[in-house]
Amino acid sequence: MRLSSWSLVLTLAWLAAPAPAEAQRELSPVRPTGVWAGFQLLPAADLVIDEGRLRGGLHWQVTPVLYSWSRDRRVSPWRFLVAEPMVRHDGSLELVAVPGIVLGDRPSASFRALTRATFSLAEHGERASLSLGAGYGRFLRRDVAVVEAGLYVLFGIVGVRAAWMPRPGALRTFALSFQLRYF
Amino acid sequence: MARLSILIVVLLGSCAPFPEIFRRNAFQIPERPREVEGRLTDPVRPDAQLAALWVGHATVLVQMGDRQILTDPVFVHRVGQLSPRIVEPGLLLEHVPAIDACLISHMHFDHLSLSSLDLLEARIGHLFVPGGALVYVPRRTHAVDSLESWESFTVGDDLRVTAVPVDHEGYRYGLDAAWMDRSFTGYVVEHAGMTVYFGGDTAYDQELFEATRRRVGPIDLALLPIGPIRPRDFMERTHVDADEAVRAFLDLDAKHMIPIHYGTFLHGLDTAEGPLLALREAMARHGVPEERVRVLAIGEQVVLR
Repeated sequence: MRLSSWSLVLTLAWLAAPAPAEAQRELSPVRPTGVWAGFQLLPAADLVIDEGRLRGGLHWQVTPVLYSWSRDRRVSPWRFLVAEPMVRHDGSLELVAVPGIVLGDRPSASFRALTRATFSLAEHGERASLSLGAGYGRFLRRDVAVVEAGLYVLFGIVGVRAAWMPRPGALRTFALSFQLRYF
Repeated sequence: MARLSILIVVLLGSCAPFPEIFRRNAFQIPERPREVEGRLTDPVRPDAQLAALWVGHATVLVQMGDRQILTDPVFVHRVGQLSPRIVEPGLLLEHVPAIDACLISHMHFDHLSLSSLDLLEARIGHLFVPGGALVYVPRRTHAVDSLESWESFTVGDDLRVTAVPVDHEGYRYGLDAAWMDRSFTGYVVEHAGMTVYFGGDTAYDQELFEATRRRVGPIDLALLPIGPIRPRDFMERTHVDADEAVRAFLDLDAKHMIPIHYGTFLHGLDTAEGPLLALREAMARHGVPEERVRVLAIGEQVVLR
């Protein structure tokens, strides 16, 4: 928990730092569009295992800010809400807000806030990439830490992610997610 | 996996006749691309002033004096993870010489192949991309510059590369069409009194071709796409067909033309030979003699001067 808080603070400090003076960077023309918004409404499906009990779930993802370390130095490394597949999957660090719902006898809303780093595995992330993330959230009506890892193919569109969400006294809460995320 | 990938892209596709193309192409994926016999192992011709070797699709190795230019290098067996190669590259990677200028016409997977650029990185001296396209070029060890239309850059002191306008699309993934609206270009390369035009991918726009002729003067060689042709009502917005390619060649008033961008990948609804047959008909229709349009086999090199 403390580790993820520190990572969040460090990330925010890094995001607030000025760009190198030598770089005359182009502002990114990337912007949200109606079609993009429509794709973001598509939920990821979760399979939740909580202390041996199996549940379903859905979640969505929003990226307030992303920093890419793989782009040409003349191009802005920052993205807000929208990130091109190569910009995200060739090497990036992003803050992610993950609202969702856990289904079952008593459906409940969930929310997770994460710092997620994504690394290319093949073809600058267009063929395959890997993500590692950590954060904090509210899941099954309880505060949880979140540690996750994901694997993505086909320009990052198709992905599976596994999350471990321990809380004091209950360490066996996991979620396996399948996502189709386009931008 | 490849077919599943195609299906996903088809489902995500918004405005193209993808289902028809999918039905035609998904079940024609060859086991392996056709081999090219007699590939050159040393394509540099000390005796030549102007030579061109068609590697396949839009990839051409052009020799202008002592300089080597490579267009839209694609040496991989599948582009965009989806479209398979039906013919091997006409030049093996290890035989690609040091490249003075590598030209990328636009961001589509069959033109900007990041894997190919990775494999060639040590041999590329200077990479050129269209304006606004740097975002899709990962950090590289060689020089990279983007050129807006009519902007020029001189490599060394005598190889001049100029971006010239064409009519195409600048996006890579589809959704980015909303902002990647200028990242496509043609190029004119000038060296030692010779001029080569590379059309990349373009629809027919007589005004643009004539403007290029007026600005750059006599063109010795025009590399012009002749496909994909079908389905025509969809392709004509972004691709010349063979007849339009011949008209572009005449608009440019070039001495020679080499047709490219056909017969290498499963492409639209074209057959491998369709664009070439259409080209021969168009040449006859427009009275263009065969010595001006040099049809190359993949892997074949022609010395023009």
